[in-house]
Amino acid sequence: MNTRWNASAIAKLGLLTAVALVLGYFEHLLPVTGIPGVKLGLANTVLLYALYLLDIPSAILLMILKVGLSGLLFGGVAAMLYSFAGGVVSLLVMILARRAKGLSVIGVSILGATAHNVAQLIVACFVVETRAILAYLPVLLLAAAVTGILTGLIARYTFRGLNPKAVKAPEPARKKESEKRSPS
Amino acid sequence: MKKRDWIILASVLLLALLAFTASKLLAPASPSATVTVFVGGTQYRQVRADEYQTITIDQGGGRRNVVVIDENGVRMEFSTCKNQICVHHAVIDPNNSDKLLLDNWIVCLPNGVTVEVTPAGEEP
Repeated sequence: MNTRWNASAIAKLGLLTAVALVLGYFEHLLPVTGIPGVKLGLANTVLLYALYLLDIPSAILLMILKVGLSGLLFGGVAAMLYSFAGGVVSLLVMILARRAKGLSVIGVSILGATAHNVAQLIVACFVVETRAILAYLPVLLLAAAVTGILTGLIARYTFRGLNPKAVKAPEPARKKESEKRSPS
Repeated sequence: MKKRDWIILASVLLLALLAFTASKLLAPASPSATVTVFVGGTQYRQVRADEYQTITIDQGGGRRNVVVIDENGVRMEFSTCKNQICVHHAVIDPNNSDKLLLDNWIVCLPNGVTVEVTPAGEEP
């Protein structure tokens, strides 16, 4: 994290954090599933965006900000613990999956969603140690497959819609200077 | 979607199926439908589903849950927890709980209380 934190990068990260928070709140209002613990994970599209079109440090910072702020605003300490576990593990898996060959953003998204749900279930395991947790695992895995595909598709078309060149952190002015210099 | 995406999707679904089978195999069988209340990891109370009663689980520190068993089935009548998911959970009919896919549990995560409804099995 050296010279990258210029005003543009900070503004972009702030914007992405706001989008992630609003999406997280928005899906909280949608009674899509009715199954406790299952949500769409719309905020994950923002994280995928950061991972694909920005860089890993930005994605990590975004995840921490999203979890911390939405915990303070909407959830509470217990909820924050769950989403932090989910956030850390899913981001780690997605960073690794992004590097793996032959995976599209949809595959990365499915893996991220699965890791998120499994991590939350493991935290729940420490809270209540029963077979109820095991009984809930298939539900969460199935949900992860569905929501992973959905958010992956959203991410794919978002990437396509946004011109990556226009949104990518501007390379420091050096590049332009070197271009100018080289012909002379 | 690329080929490996499909492989990942397939393995997640396979894992779901495995976990489902495992949880079904681990469910205890008893001659009559039973209701088991767990607090934390330990069994708190086990009763027959046809013995209508109200079970109050008071863990102190403002953590209280009330489970009601009556002719309608089993439900969480009251909970001090914040999210109230357990209270909004549908009533479980003990005669029907094996047909409720994975839904024979009422879980109150904040208070660490779980209620399992097991249908009547063949042999104890």
